[in-house]
Amino acid sequence: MTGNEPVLECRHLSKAYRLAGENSLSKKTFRAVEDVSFSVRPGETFGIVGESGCGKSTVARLLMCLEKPTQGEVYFRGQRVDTLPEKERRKLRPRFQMVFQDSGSSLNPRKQVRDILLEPMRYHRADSQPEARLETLLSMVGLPAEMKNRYPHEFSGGQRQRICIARALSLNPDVVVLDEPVSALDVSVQAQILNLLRDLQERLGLTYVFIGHGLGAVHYISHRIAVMYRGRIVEIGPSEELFDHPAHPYTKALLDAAPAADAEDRYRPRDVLKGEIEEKAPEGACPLYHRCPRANAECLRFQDDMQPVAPEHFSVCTRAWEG
Amino acid sequence: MEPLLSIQDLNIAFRQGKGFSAAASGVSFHVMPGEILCVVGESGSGKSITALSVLGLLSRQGKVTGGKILFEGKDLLTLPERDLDSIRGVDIAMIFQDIMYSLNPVFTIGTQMTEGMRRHRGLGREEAWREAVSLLERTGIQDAAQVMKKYPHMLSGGMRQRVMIAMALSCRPKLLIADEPTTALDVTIQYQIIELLRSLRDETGMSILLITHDIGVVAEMADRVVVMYAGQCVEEAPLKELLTHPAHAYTKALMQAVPGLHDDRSRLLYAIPGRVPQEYGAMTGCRFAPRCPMKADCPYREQAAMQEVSPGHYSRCLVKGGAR
Repeated sequence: MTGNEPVLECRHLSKAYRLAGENSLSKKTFRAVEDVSFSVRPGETFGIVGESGCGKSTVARLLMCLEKPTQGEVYFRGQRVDTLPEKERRKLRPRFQMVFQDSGSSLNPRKQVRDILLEPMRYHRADSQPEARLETLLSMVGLPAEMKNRYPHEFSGGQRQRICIARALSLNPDVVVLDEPVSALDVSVQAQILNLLRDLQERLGLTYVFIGHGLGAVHYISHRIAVMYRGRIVEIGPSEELFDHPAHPYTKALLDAAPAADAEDRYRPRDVLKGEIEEKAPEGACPLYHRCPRANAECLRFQDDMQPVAPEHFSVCTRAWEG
Repeated sequence: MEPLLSIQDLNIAFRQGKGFSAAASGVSFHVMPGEILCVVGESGSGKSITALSVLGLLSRQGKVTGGKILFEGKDLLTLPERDLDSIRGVDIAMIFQDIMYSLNPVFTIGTQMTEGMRRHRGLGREEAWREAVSLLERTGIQDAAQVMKKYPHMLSGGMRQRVMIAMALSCRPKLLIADEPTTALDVTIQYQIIELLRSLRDETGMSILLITHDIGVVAEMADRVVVMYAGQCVEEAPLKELLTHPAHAYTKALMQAVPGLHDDRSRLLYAIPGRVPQEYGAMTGCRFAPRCPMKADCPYREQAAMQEVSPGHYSRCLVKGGAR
């Protein structure tokens, strides 16, 4: 492992899907992800936030090579992986793993926990003593070893998510991509899982990519955060910096909209977005143009270049800082 | 002033195997005219079941086994179905979390919007149509006349929830029951809906009973709050009092388990150990005790009845200190 070289990196990643309902010759596409670039450093948690439909889950799937990018490249420890033949990529698989939002549907209901956890190890012939490893894994995620003979339906949502995490860790990965792992959980259980993830990261030196829409949770677990809107990253920066001094009007509006229990005054001044994410901005304009409380005529000619606005902090727009 | 809705010692049980298991035990609270009351709790706390029972919408598995639900002095539980029909959707309207399935997919928005007004208020087709358009406009839908001709699948989640709200308002209810109305929505849309509900209350003077799991939504909406845990009300207080001086150990723990946007990230988040109990009918004393950080020397373990903390503030637990 060399110093600060990124573990996972993507450059100019784009993904377009053919629109459903169009005939097979139609060229109409929906651009889910457009020109997304970032790199994830060893041992850090890189958070991605955005509303539904912003492309954050597609980015996760592209990073995991579960989808082929329309354009762009994905690198794992300097090696390009998105064009790797499946056979070659399979050898790398143990080193980057994924946890999904819906723990119910990502565990095979007909298999006992032990088989769920042993399967990856058997497939990759990873461990000489899989049984011992199984018990270590269960205790690592805080489940009693006796539970190994149970089936997924016998567990609560939080426990199932622990099993998914154990499965992702079974092959000693470098990177775990977590796609909304706590969104479906109750508040008290969500806190347990977030703490577990942080604890595991510290103990095992894991690198995380954490996708979420709960702003508080993403802030709590991430070192750096990227904010996505309509397929693009609009702002990226260290968590505290980004949440305390958002430069992009979208980030500011997102933070302003989040209800906070410690809010002194619910009528505090805030930036509110108009309309909905589905509505398209005029051609050539900033994608947020029609919704942005701070838009002006200049926004009709849109430059989507990231500008450095503070150390490690980049944004497409800095109008949130204007009076 | 008399309360508009008053739930008294409500018990609900659900069929489980041969017997019944309790889903709400001794739930009591009231909603004043023009008030927004939030009932907050995690899944399994009995909050939705309580709301559904007000309109007699419990599934066949569920049964009210005791208590009263008084609406303008009439007990809804003993009212004949016919009379209930003239209250349901008229004086009391409800909106649900599930925006996908709350609208009928085979009828246009217009047909569904006008149905209630024509039936309950005897409006003619055109009159009802005009009023529906103005209701949709009032909920912030821009091209309302176009939306009336659309089918539910053609609308986004936020639009569907606006249609649901407009529909709920169509018979000018005195009470709107909103069960997690923003849970399925993105935060920017959630805020739009919160603002809409607040302003509708201010304009029409209707009461809102809002069910939610999100203490943040409570802070944005509520005048008064009821906290539920394991089928019981555990604390009740005016909003500001609850946020600044929570009395119950569960309320404190719940508030600390939510990561804030500007928290110090180096501090570990407080996590309540274990999970909400699935079976609590047989539990005596404090139902939160097994998970409580203060359980060691707690005087309320065996006996946890509602007590007055300060005027209007009641709690089953007065333990000093908290989760941290």
